[in-house]
Order: sequence, then C-alpha cells, then structure tokens
Amino acid sequence: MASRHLQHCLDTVRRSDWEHYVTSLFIPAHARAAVFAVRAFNCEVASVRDSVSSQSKETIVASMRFQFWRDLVDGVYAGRPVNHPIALALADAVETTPISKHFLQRIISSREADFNAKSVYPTLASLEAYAEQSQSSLLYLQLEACGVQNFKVDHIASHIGKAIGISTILRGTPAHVQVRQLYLPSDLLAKHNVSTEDIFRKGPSEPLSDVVFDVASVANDHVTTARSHIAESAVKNEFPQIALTALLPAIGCDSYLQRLEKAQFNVFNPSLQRRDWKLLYQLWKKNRSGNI
Amino acid sequence: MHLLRMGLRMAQRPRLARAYTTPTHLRQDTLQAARAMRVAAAAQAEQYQMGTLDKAAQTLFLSEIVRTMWLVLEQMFKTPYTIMYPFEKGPLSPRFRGEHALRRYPSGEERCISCKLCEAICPAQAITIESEPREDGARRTTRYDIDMTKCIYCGMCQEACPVDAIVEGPNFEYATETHEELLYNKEKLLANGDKWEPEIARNLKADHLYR
Repeated sequence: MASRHLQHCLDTVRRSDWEHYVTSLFIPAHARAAVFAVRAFNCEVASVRDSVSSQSKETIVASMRFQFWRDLVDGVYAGRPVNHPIALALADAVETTPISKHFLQRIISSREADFNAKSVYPTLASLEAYAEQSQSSLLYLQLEACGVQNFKVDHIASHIGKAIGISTILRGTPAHVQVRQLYLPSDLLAKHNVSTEDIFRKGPSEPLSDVVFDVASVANDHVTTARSHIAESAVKNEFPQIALTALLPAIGCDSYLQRLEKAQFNVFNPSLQRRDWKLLYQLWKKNRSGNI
Repeated sequence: MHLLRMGLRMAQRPRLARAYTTPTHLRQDTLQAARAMRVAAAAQAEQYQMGTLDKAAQTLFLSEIVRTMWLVLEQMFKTPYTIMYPFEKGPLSPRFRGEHALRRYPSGEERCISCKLCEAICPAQAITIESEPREDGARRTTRYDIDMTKCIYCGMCQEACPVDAIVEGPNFEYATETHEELLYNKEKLLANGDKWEPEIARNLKADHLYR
C-alpha cells in the first residue's frame, strides 16, 4: 500500500520536475520516500497558480486550493490524512522522519503570497525572500529527512535555496511572458530602462540581458558562497557527508547558470529550455567529489 | 480593366490601415483617404472606359473563360481546405473544454475526495454531490451528477478541483437524442475518465516547474 502512494509521488515529480527527480535519487534509501513525498507536495502547490486561469478574477479558486493543501498538512500532522496519495505518503514520512510542519506551511504561504501579489517583485531582495521561503524550505525539509540537524548546514541550504529560486524564475521567464507575467525585479528593470511591455511584445533585447546578468550574478554568488562554506566546514570535519545529497539540487541550478552565461544571458535562447544531458554525470561526479 | 482598377484600390488600402495605428488622426485621415479614393475612381472610370473593339476582342477570344479555367487549374494543385469531418478532425487546444470526466489514479482508486469545491464554485449550479464515509473511513461520493444541459463549460470545476479529479476532456461528440441522456451520473463520468485518460493526462502535462 505504501509503495503505491510513493509511486504516485515519484510519477508526479518525474513528470513535472525532472531535474529534482534525478537529484533526489541520490538521497539515501531511508530518507528517499520522505524526500519524494515533499517534492511531490511542492510540485502540486507550485502548479496551483498555473492551473488557475489568469483571466478568472475569482482569486477564490486559488485560495480554495491553497486552503485544501493547508488542511491536508494539518490532517497529516493530526494523524488523520486525507485520502490523497501525497497526504498518505507524507503521513508515512512523518512517522519515520522528523520533517517539520512549519516548513510545509511556509511553502504554501509563500506560494499564496506570490499568487496574491500579482505584480513584479519590487527589489532583488524581495525576490530572494520568496526564493528563500519556497525553495530553501524544501532543502531544510530534505536535510531533516536525512537526519541532519546543524545550523551551519542550514545556512548553506539557505544560500542554495536562494540560488535555485532565482534561477527557476529566470528559467521560467519565457513561460511567464507568454501569460503576461514577469518576475524580474522592477528596480533592475528601471535601472536598465526596460519596460515590461517591451519584453512582452519584443522578447529578448540587450538591456534585458543586462538585467538578467545582474539577477543571475546574485544567484551565482550564492552558489559560490555555498561551495566555499562547504569546503570550509569539510576541512574542519564539520560537514556530514549525508547532507551533501540533500544539497545536490544546487548542481542543476549551477548548470543552468553556466549555460545562461554561454547563451549571453538571453533567457529566451531555446537551448536553455532543453534538459541538460550532462546533468546525470555531473551529479554523480559531484556526489563523489564531496562538494557541490 | 476591372482587375486593374481593383489593383489600384488595393494599393490604396495600406494608407488606411496605417491610419488605424494613430487613433488621434484616425478620423481626419480616413475622410481624406475616402475623398481621394472617390476622386481617383471617377478619373479612372473616364480613362478606362472599355471601347467597342476591346469588348468584341474579349468575346471573340473567350478571354474570361480562359482566365476562369486557369483559376480552376490552380485550385487543382492546392491542398483542399475541407476535412472529411467524422473521419478527420481539426486540431484542438490542450485547454479545450469539452465533455466532463472523473479521473482515477493509476492504481484504480477514484481521485475525487468529495470536497465539494466544484459544486460550490459552479456558476450554473450544474453539479450535485452527495457523500458519505466508506467502510475504510475514506470520504467518497455516493452521487456525483452533472446536468450537461445546465453546464456552461466555463472550466471552473476543473480549476477548483485540488486533486485534478473532475476535468473537461477533449471530447466534443456526445450529442444525444433525449435530454435525460445528458444528465450524467457518476458511473458515466468515471467511464468517460477511463476512456479519455491518455488524452487528459497528456493535456495536463508540464515539463518543468517554472515557479
């Protein structure tokens, strides 16, 4: 019975988030079920905004869906999960591993706040805050599932989460533009004199590449910082090796940022939307080398 | 001659079309253009009035018939616009909202958890749900009816469903002879789901999380 819920979670993650699917396969067996339950949960909550039509002024539809997930989490922790494969998989995970409720709730509330905001992020800092809430929370949950309780590792995870959140936004930009949404911070857009309407109508342009460069540099800084922190604590023997598997999502983000640089920071370049065929090898190599 | 006049008129069109892009001058430009066109047309009418010899030549050489035959010949080498409808079908958007279906998980379990959000959101009040707990404690619908003659195909039920159970599938060929046949019950909806699952699953597919 348990494997059936897990299978659904695996299918969900593989279908809608392939990169994190392959990354999560590196998690040790005892924590893998919990990680996949959490990832599938994230896929569902993250796709609420896309399943609700942007034209419908009835934001109530979205808030009903978010409320459903909130109730689902409450039910899981109260010991009476809803009959939904992800709820049952989460309930199994909660029994065996200490994953905390408030991170799951934080993911929902960050997504809901993002849905209700309806506008671009005013500054890079607010984009980072969203990335931290939505993506770093996932990494904290993965670390908890692996049994790592270490504030230094959490600090590294917060850097990586921000990098992943920012690069996800960059990667999603062509898809967002199709539905007339833009997540790039408006202070940078103003600095480089790009109007959102120009992006919606004309797509790639030189000043837009400048904005993307500024945003991507911040993400790259976070990856570099995380890398140096890991190296530092590994020297002092303070970095548990199991934590590395939970932080592997950084590789996918790093690979995207490298490819973005090769594409001259043009987010609309079609090569950026393809799956990176070298990713599996990179994951394996980094997992062996002991640093992201 | 007539064709030439048509051609001249076509050549004047872009000037009108450009005027649409500047709304403030639209009215003036349109009036001016219309006046210019009238003047030009009057001048042409005088200049190109067909003479008797021209008319006779056209009749003698069957030039209209030859032109028409040429047109027919051109059409013979073009792909036809029509499709053989019941056997061939036009393209459908993945977001097409057609006949409703209730989906199951691959394990065979019904997706619907009887939360009644679709019933609440339905603006046409076409959905009726009754539910009770099953023996194993799971809440399930005992009745799930959609009145397809009330439904306005807005897709709100699909948007509201948190477990993607009720969907509007790609099927649009479900005409019936009687009204009663369009009052769908749960069995019919589940059967629809089983029948259309591959298409529905493909339409819901997304490759990458963009948020």
